[in-house]
Amino acid sequence: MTSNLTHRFRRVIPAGAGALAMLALGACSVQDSLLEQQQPQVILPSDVQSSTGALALYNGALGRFRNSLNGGNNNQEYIWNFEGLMTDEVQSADSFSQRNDADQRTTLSNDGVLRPVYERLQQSRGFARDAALALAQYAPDEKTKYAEMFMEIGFFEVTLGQAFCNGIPLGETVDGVPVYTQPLTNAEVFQAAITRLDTALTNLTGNDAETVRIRNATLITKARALVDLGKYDEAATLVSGIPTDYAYLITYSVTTQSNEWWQMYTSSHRYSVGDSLSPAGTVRILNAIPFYSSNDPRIQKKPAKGVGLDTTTPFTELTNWGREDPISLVNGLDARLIEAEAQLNKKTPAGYAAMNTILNNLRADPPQYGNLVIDAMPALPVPLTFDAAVDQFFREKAFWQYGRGERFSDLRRLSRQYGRAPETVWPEGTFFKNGEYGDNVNFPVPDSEKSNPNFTGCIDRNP
Amino acid sequence: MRLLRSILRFGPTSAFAIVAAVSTPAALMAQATVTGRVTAAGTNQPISDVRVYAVGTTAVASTNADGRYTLHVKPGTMDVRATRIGFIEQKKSVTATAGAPATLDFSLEQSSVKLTEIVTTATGEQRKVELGNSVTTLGNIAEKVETTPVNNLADLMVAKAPGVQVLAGNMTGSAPVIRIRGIKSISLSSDPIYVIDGVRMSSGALSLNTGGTAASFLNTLNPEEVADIEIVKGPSAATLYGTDAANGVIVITTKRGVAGAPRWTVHAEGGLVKDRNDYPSQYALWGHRPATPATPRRCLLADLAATPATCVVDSLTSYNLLADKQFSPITTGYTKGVGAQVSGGTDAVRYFVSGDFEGEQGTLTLPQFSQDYLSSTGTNIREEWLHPEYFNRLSLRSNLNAAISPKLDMGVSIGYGKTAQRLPPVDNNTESFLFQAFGNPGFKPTAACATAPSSCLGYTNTGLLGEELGGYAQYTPASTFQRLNQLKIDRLTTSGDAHWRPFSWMQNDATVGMDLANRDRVALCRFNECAVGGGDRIEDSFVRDTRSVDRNLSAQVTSNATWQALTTLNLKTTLGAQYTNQQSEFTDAEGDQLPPGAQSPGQAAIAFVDGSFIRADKTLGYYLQEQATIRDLLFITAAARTDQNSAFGTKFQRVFYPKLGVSYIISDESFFPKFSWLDQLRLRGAYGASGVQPGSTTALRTFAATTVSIGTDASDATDTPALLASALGNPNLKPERSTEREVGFESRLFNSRFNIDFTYYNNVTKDALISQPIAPSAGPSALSVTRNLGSIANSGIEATITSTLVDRRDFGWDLTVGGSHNTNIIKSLGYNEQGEPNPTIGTGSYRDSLGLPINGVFARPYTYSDANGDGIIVASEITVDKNFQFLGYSSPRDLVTIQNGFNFFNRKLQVNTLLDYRGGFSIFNNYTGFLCRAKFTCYDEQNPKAPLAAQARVVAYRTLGSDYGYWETGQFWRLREVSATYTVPTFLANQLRARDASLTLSARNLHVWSSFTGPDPETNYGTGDIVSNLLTTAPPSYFTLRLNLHF
Repeated sequence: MTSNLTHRFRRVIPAGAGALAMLALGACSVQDSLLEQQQPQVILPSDVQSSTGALALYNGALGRFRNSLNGGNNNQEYIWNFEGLMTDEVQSADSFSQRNDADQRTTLSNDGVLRPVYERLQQSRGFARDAALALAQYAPDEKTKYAEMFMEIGFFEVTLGQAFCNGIPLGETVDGVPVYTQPLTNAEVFQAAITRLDTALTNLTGNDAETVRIRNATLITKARALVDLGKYDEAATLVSGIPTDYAYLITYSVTTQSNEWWQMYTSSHRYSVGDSLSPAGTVRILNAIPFYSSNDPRIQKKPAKGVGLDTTTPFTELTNWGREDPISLVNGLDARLIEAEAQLNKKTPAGYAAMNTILNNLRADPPQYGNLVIDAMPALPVPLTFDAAVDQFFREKAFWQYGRGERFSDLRRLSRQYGRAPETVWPEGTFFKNGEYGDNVNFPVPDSEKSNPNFTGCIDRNP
Repeated sequence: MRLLRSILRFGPTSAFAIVAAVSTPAALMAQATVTGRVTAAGTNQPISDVRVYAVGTTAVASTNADGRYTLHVKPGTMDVRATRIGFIEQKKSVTATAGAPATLDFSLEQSSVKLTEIVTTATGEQRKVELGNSVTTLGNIAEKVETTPVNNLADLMVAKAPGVQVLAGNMTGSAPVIRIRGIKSISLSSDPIYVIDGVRMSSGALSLNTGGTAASFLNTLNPEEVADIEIVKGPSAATLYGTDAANGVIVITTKRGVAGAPRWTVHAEGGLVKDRNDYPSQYALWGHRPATPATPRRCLLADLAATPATCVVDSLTSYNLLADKQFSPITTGYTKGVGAQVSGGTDAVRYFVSGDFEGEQGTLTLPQFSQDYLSSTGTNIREEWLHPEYFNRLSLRSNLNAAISPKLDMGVSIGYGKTAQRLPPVDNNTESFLFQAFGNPGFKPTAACATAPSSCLGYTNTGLLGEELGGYAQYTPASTFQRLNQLKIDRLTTSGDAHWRPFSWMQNDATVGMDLANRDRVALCRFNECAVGGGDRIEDSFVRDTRSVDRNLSAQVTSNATWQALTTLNLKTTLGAQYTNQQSEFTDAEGDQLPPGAQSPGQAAIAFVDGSFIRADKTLGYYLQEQATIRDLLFITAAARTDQNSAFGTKFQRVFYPKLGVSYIISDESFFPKFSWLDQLRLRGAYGASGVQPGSTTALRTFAATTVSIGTDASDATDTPALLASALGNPNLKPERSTEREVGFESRLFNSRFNIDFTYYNNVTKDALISQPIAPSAGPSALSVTRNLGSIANSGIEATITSTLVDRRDFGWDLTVGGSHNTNIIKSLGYNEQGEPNPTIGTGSYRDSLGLPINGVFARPYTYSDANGDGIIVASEITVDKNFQFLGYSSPRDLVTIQNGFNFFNRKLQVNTLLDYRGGFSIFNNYTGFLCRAKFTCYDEQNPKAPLAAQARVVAYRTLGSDYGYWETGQFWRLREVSATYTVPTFLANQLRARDASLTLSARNLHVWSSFTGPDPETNYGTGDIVSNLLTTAPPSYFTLRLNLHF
């Protein structure tokens, strides 16, 4: 037995050991190639560390900029669309409860559509920051593009401050590591945005057409932040030199992204045009501007036909924008309206008249915005009181800036800056789908922000 | 040096071969032969396919059709064992001498309980009693396919093994969901992996552009070709399958030839598919305002509760469009199938060849009113519109096995499958026929609605094309069924294996194979067809064509050395290496605005590439296993495997997985008390680890290419290439690591008429990959980063009792009862920036929280009270909790199956039934919930006699934001299978020149007992861990007649 055992050991152990050694040796020689990463589609950091890489990141950030506001596919909301739903611009003809909730002003912080709307805005800040850093490092001569990225960041932050409650953090991600910050009030957010926009302006010193185009956009954006802070005269001064026919346009193409208003109205029938009556004409919506039934030329529409995507709500279609029609990010109209609001806030008959003159000049010679060309409109009477002037100004503003996110901020400001109770400015009464309108006057910062340990929820829901 | 160069050139396989060759003493080459015949006790009929092997050696053989075998062994005295499913294993001793063949015959007793004795493990075939872990083998698949209603792999596996949950697809050819021993991963898939004839097989769900329901790679596999399926349940058994095997392994073995004259098997079958589910009706509560009695309007319950009431009720109507044969697209579908197999050969060369065609036309068709409309417009009705739910499969297989020499066997397996499938828009899709049907106004509309909509509550009964809607909301099947969603797959699965036994104590095995699939997925709306989207059918015409290639390369070499160290101790050493390379790529081309007749992207006015993707996952692993067999009673296995993987982070190189198993047939010990009723008691225990690899590029920081329209206005806007930062990556990424301990026993009682199998398992997943959310305010390029943060525990019990209750000539009754219970707990979700444990991930209805199961269900409960006693619940009478509360599991915890097999008339008639229970979980009724929230036509909203609870849940959901009322128990009992097989008298079979013949009548999904208020608790289109039943089709019933002929 012992002999047999020894014999076996002598045979098996060397064989096993040899096999192991050979196997390991053979394996080492081939394993690197066997495990080689073959992911030809993957673009790695080393691929973007050049001037061309930086410019590609700049292009990408521009794309996300447009995408975050009103651009995209797949029937998803972006901030201007979702703001339109909560205001009187749009009525939900959709089966999605989130859209109905927004229309009803009952959106909660765990809302599944609001979350990506917020995330896109915040992430786009990061894309713009990444692009700016890359431009600074690899393409330092591209001052205008560098400044445009800061204009973008400022625009996002103004938009965040206008749309969301007090309590918005503005952090950053450095080398893949998130740096979280404390939540800010809306006023602090506007101030932060102004700092970004000033950085942009510092780098926009040239007089070539592109630099002027970006500088004008930056000035209007900064002026908006100032208006949000109640600094009307300062804002008006900033934009005074901007021509009325100026526009910074967001462009679209079939192969990239569609104009989201076309997507939500024409393509998918998820929206009906806002009105002072419900789509079926059976329920009165308090405080709502009759965008659909006013027959104002600034609202291009088709006659009601069929029902919306919810298969119940009569469908009314807005045709201001086709699939590839550009939409203004900011334009000369905005500049004039900022000047008009400065006149309004002089709170004098002369101011009201000056405001009315600006508004009537626009009506007499409407500038083209996007692809929309409209005929002259009759002049409006000069308002005699502050309240009447406020009514006239914000109604005109609502028509001129339909679908560009301004109405939402204006309704908030009507309470915050003009002392009007929210229930007198926001859609109120019976919600045509069920129940009553809620009391939202801004969007809650979504729960996904709670991954930031400094954030526990909105500081308040004040307008 | 030449040897070394050879090794370096040809790798591990050659290394083994060379080592074996150079270490072979000439004296050991002398061999002896044992031959014999295996017959059935009592009948003396030869038994084919019996595994005969010499204990403690690598010598193994299979009997041919005449029951004969030949074993090549080392001279000496040895034990030889013969085993086959359905017979009691037998062991005999024999002395073999070189040059003088020894003869050893076996006469096997039939076993009352049919249990598989040999299983396929990662290191080769092994006796089941030697394993420390439990393995479920489905056994004689051929018999199951012939005698039960089986159309696909899911049908074979559903309710067959404790701890294995199979949620079958509901539409024709749709994807099943399979989970083994609970959900083990938070962020990764919990799908098991599949190995067919030693080759890793693509098995995932495949999108079909329907709105939810997906196709599956699994349905390309033809059950007729399968010999056996083994379910390796967890890491304790799957260690040597390596990284990716932690969720279990489904090991599929296809049929092999049996030596002898050609044996033909021919079958033909046909059947009916019926959707016997009750879909909800819609309601209309007709009334009028008090001041305008002549104008009808729809009352809501809230209108009745107002003071004064704002609506006066006139009547209540209801309508179920899907039950109205005039308008419903639901009809009776059919299945058909025909196939032939032949097996035979010599002891040297055996073959198996099969061909099979199966087709299924589902329960959907173009309703007559839609056909009439299309005919009236001069439209030729395409076959695909008439039958939009369709699947067919052509399967060809050729398996060849050759004994090249007594020391060398080789085999080649080639399987080809070709499938074609189409489904209409369904589920979460506005063009879904269900969504459109449930949009009916709550009454059957008349022609008058078109001219006087106010008399029809505003419903015009007229579509955007001017067509009659017949109660559909916007689109009828005349337009929605025009959309073609089609998937075609061509799949070739090949493998070659070689088994070389240079010595009686050594066997080297090699398997190389490829699973290659080409997919073509098309979504097509031709010119002037489909539903009107953007108001212009012509502009909306489009085609999206996605071409994909999936390649799985598998290679494995193992070397087994056996050694009888002592008379009571046998050792077996296994050394192996395994390589898998899974690659897939696709290109997605889209064309918009098609001219008449066009149906490819290149023919469209606007054509572009919409996406492309290429990925590769590669794993290289080595393993070493040592098995000790002590007195043929105690079996100890120790093993380890190490893997490298292309998806690991750059800072993580290698993972090690250990394994230990003990199996002890304690009842055969002399000290064990003898009981007349106890035939065998085996104790077993196992410990092992395995992993799940991260996504192929998850470890990398990446950028994504995109295209942006850039310009100062529309005239100069240009599509411009761009980049965006994408994944943040994680260089420290490593696989999830699951460690499992299991103990159990198996006992045979009462002359093997009862078999009890019990297992307790405890599985802990560490380094669980979690997509850790990043707060948006940080402006990250990705909103999460994958990290090895979590820990999940799954524990539970599994038990199976297999019995023969009656075994008489005129009547037999076999009963198998299986059950399992699983507890799933999240032990850790990692730590936040402050070092505190993350308590939860998610803010919606499904959350991952510490101490609770993965995908735990959360909702805000409410209470209600009809305070004013008016019989109507309004929002003010409901109080909703401000906080979300945990409601329970979202996946079944408890599984029970009861299988009965009855034999009548000397086994001429065999009746099988399968009853299936699942419980311990909640599901969201997104049928009623969605319809009640989005529509005013649901029962809860319109019927004044609706129970208060029903009223409360719709008000709470619609008005107060609580979906609590629509969370329901998912518990059910289902009569899943019933079948009867009649063995045709021999003289009749002989008339067909058949050796024997049988006829099977079978049914699937006959009845379900459940308190779920949706159509069926298994209504689902999801392919992950969460049930998605938003307006999807419920499981249909199948009735099949099948003729089996054996020549």
